[in-house]
Amino acid sequence: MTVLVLSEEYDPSVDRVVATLTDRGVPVFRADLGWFPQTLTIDAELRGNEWVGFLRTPHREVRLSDLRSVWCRSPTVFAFPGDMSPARRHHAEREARLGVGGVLATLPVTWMNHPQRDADHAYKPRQLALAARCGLTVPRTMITNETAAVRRFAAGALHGLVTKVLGANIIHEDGHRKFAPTGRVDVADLGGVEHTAHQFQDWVPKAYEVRLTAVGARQFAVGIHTDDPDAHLDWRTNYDALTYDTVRIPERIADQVRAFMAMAGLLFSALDFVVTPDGDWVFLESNSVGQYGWLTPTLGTAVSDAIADHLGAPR
Amino acid sequence: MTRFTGAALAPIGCQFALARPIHDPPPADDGSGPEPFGLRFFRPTEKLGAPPRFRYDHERQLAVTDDGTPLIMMPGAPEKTTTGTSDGKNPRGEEFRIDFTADHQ
Repeated sequence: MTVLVLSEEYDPSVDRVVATLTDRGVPVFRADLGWFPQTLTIDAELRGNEWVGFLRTPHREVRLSDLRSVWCRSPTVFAFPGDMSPARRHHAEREARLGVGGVLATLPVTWMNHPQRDADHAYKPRQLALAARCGLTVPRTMITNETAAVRRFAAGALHGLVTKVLGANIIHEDGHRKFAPTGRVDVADLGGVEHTAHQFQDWVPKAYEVRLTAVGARQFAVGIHTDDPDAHLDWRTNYDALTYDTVRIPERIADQVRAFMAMAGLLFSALDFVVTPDGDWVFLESNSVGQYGWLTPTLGTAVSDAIADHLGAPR
Repeated sequence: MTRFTGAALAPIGCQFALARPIHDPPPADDGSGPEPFGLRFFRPTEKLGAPPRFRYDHERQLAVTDDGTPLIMMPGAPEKTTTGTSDGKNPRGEEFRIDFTADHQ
């Protein structure tokens, strides 16, 4: 049986897993949905209560009933001819999403992750609530567009407040690509809070941070250390200032993460934690389409191997 | 007042979210009008670096160099990182690409 991999063409993390599966003799059908409809086609019929048929490219085809698992890792959006009008493109894109996406999402196979679970997981307030329900420690958090509420919340913050965007932290504006790291909040200047929802959290004193990559029940943790002040606030601001090491995961945290993954319906996620100077682990967020490849020098191929184990397991 | 016309809480696109093609930048925006508080923390960063020169090998189903060597076998081959500054070492590194949907364009 075959593993269906949906990803863009350039993704070294996917390449490693595809190579591992191929070495193990597990058939793989890799495609980017950006190939649809030009070089990827679908031919599916509803028979009984299941969709059967084929996905095809000029190079190979796979029978839908022959799939054992699907790895859905940020395939790009469907691509249509450039001379299609915006209205026709919008129509075609929506039909493709509902048709191709609808058939694929219905396949009764192992999903890493099912796109609808990924969609649910995009909501950070939900993540925080799930994490707390599983017993993980989470920072005091507020979502608001009221400045008075921010000041009330700040009064209870022992180490100050930070703000973090809830969605994509990249925007393209005024000719620039802009990135938003975690920011310290000055409650004397909250102008603009009223314009939309904002997330505020207590600043959690940190000794270091951890990226914990969970693959099913298996977990791989890397400590992220820095002396750089900006990277201490948000390690994404300066990769050159970071050092990494492997970290032992406390048993209680491992159990809580397993419960979190089950409750979220995920087989893969990259979770970020702060480890306080007292050694407590505080959950920040979970990235169900997170990167792990840049940690390969520390982790080796452990994550890739675990993903291949899951995807290649008998249906 | 501009209103969103799609379903505010559960747009169809989000149920099968797909990533923005790297060659399809978002529409230009002049950054005018009221600025939400959170936007003051955004700061210019370099454009995403181009991926290394590669071609997709449809037989092996992975990226290879011109001479057919898998890119993952090349020493120092760039990895994706989380979203962050792009210093040439993390080409096309985007953590959170799930929000590119037709409903949000």
